[in-house]
Amino acid sequence: MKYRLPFLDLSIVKFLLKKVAYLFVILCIWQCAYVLGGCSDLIFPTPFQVARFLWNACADGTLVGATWMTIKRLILGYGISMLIGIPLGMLCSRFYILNACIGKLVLGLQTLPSICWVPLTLLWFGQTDCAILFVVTMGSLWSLIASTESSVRQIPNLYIKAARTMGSRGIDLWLTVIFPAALPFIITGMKQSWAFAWRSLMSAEIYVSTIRGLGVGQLLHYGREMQAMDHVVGIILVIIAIGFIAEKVIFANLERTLHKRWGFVKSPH
Amino acid sequence: MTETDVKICASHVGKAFTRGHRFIKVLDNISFSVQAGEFVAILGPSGCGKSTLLNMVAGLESCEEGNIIVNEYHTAQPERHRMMMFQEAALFPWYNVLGNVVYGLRFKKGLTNAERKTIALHYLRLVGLDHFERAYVHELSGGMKQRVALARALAPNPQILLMDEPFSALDALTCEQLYKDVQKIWNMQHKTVLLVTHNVREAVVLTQRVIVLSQRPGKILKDFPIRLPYPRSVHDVSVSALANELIKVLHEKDDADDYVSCI
Ligand SMILES: Nc1ncnc2c1ncn2[C@@H]1O[C@H](COP(=O)(O)OP(=O)(O)OP(=O)(O)O)[C@@H](O)[C@H]1O
Ligand SMILES: [Mg+2]
Repeated sequence: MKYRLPFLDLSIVKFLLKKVAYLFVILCIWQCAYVLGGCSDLIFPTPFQVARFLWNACADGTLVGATWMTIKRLILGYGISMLIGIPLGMLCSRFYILNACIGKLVLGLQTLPSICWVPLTLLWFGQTDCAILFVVTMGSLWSLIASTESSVRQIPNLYIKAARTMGSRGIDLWLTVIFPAALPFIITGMKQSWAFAWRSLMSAEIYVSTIRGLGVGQLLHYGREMQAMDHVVGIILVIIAIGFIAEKVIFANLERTLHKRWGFVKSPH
Repeated sequence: MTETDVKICASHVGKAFTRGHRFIKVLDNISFSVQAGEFVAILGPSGCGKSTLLNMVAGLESCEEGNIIVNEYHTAQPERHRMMMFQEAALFPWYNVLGNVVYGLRFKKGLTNAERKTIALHYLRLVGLDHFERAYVHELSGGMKQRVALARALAPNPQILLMDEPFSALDALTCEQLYKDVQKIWNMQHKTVLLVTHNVREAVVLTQRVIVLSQRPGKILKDFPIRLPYPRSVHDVSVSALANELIKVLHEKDDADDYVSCI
């Protein structure tokens, strides 16, 4: 057989088997801890209970709906902070006055833990979706402005010189050279501010109990109110999974591809 | 030669940088002129201000003392009738090869996108890179990158080509091939070319005239005509002989300096 289907590739099978084996070992340790510890199910659920909860929650649609709701909020809130933060960061790097005015403000607000915005947002917006989006945006915007600003200052001057000799200037220079040249650095900043956005969203969802649409944070909160530990642990696993996929799979790959294309890495391996 | 044939005219050009509190004189009283269609090299030791001089001709850096007149205008801003090649190719990795060559053509008035593409492909063929138009920059070798940079600089059909050590990062074999190609292209198009280099042989192989600069602050030591027939090769005996003479010119100054410092 000359042509081999990619999913029959042995190395992939091996890789998956390894992962499954690791997972199995962890689950065994968990179950052993449950047996040996002798705690009640209220405090320490077994992997089976958590799996059953996840299965049921998926089957009746609450978990899928809540995950979708959360992702929608994340995209919206983080999207807003990208729309504001990246242009503002670029303007800051260009205009000294702007940087002098909001630079310190950005640094200050960046250090503020995002959960501190919750009391303010509850008074302003009440128990609404707006309140959640506000916390997400405030949690990620400042770090995005700061990282974009420093990204633009890192780009090689050579690109700008070359573009200027070819007749590009002003807005055109910014759109066709400065922004793309800074993009790999901006992506790295985005990865970091995404992590802030994600943490902010979870605190916001736990504290803001809007009636319109449940997110995973709210499910976690109700799990505690119902004192259902399998529920709480199951949701935590889902939260970890979402964060892992976005950060390690989406952003890390994007970053790697860009760094390779832009010539920061000499060879792929 | 009449006055209008002068493409680049530098008179009494000087430049100094301040680094911290120190004042570093980089160029001192440089005067030269380049005729239309002439291929001229600026040769000098590292750090003598060659790149600075070329940047000033390109309009990327301001001229503090004296003035540089290109096409009868002062060089305050980069303009598209003079294109520049750098030591590193300075290609944009966010475009593919074709996109890079088209970039310099975007501001040409009265061209459709299809025409721009056709022109870009023509110049890629000229530098021997047909079939690579879809490749990305990180997939090219150093020599190929400089070829793309050459195509990009030639595509807008500038009157003047400024080259800042474009071959210094390449290996000897690649250089030799590129010397051949550059001579071929120059013989076809007869652009005015100003080449900055610290490689004596490169200057002799390619150009008609070598302006030799001294150590920092750069002064003109000698204006050295090269009257050898094209095409030339690095291995020609006559090229080696002239190169040796030029090396002597560069060293004479050093010896004189040593002599002065001994006293
Ligand atoms: N923007 C700058 N600020 C301060 N000093 C500068 C600046 N640009 C160049 N110099 C100094 O001017 C001198 C000449 O620089 P330049 O790049 O023109 O040299 P060069 O002849 O091209 O050297 P090389 O052959 O190594 O490229 C150097 O000593 C450098 O340190
Ligand atoms: Mg230089």
